[in-house]
Amino acid sequence: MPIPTRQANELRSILRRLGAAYGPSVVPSLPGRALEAWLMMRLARAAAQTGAWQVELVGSDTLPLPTGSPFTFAWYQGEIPAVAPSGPSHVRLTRRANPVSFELHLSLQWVGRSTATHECDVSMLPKSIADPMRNSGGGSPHGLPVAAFECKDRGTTGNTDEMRQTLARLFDLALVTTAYPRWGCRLFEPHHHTRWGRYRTRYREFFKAGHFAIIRSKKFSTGADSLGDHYKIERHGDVYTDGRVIQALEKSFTDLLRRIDDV
Amino acid sequence: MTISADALELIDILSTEGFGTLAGELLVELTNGSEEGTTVGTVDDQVATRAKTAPTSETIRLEGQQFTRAYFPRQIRESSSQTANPVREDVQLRYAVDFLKIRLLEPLLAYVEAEEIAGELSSLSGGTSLPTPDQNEELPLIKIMSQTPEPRERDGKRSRVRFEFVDPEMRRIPSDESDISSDAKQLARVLGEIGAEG
Repeated sequence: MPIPTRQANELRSILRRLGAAYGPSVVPSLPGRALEAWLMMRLARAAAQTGAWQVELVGSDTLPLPTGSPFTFAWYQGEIPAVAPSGPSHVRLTRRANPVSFELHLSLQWVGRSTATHECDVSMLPKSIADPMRNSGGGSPHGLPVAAFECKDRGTTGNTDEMRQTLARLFDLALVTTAYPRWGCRLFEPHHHTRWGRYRTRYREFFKAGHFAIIRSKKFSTGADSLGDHYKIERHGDVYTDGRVIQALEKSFTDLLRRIDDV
Repeated sequence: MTISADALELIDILSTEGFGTLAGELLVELTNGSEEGTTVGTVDDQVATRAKTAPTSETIRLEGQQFTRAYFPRQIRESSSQTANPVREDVQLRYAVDFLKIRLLEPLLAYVEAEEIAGELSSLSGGTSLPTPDQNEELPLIKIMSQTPEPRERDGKRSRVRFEFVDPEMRRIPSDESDISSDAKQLARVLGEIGAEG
């Protein structure tokens, strides 16, 4: 039996409007980007709800977005951009007591020990690392993010291979070996070699100190669970259909904010 | 296997309106079945063995026309820990509607919520903070949101910060000012009506 004409026409109209609103290049990736944007804003709101952190939406000029201004996402993976009037926005988290600031970015490229770059869908780094880069023409941070989240808006179960891919990126990013003696840190920026975070000798200690997770619209296999458990990579499946899932992730994130000085 | 006329019509609508990727995924799920409830990829050796023995193509029938669909090697490897279990023809439309809810409607609703949260955060930039949730309480965020005065625009809607996108040259990707929240609500209604037909 065919779909009733009215519903079919309405569905076509809605899809056409979405296509017109976001353009043919954006539409195929829109669901994936929606998950990333949603996750970023949920984490930002969770930080604000602690009362201990001030949260600001910040433009590419490093100033809080004026009322009514759009929040801009990069439709590609990229670096921390140079200070400019137009470019990607980010979220800034500033601790009210003993002020220290961090930034949440979408689709940021990080540089590993191999010099290969790795995109993190949502990642967090200290403002003290981002500022020297944006004031020196832009760049990618080297090392392991304070927090990083992979978003998988796919119709498949998250399997062991997917977890291996995430781990491979994190292994390259973890600075268990250092470029220079006594350079031990979690991450640094390439222009002035500003460093941040504690050095660890083991991968699991690095991962445990931060917050890493894969978030997906479907479930995970038990193999992915085992691998993730061992290396401290959280799995948050069925994120759209089970409200407790995103709440658990938010709790882990605010736990990280509470112990941020130990990262 | 046969794809029902109504499911095929849905696939055609998706494909012709610029959502071809989703159309393809839906077709694969209807012909292969869902992975739900399986432990895909947990025993790599088993998966590899099945991948070797899996067929590399299958003849399927759409609207009476037969054609051969080639399997992608990756698809075989990732989903082969279960036997292909095509969705029954009489429930394909309902399955397709559920698929669209999770793969299109939920992301749209999440996008709308993200813009609304950005609106809340933007209004808080003066330095106030949202109430602290009680983690021991069930569904604390719902309670919090009901306690928090929602920033509103003059027309009574919750204020939102609109998202926009830039390309690698920092050029704004053109988009219009359509109301995605309205589209998401309409999509929910239409999918509900189509699902009821199935």
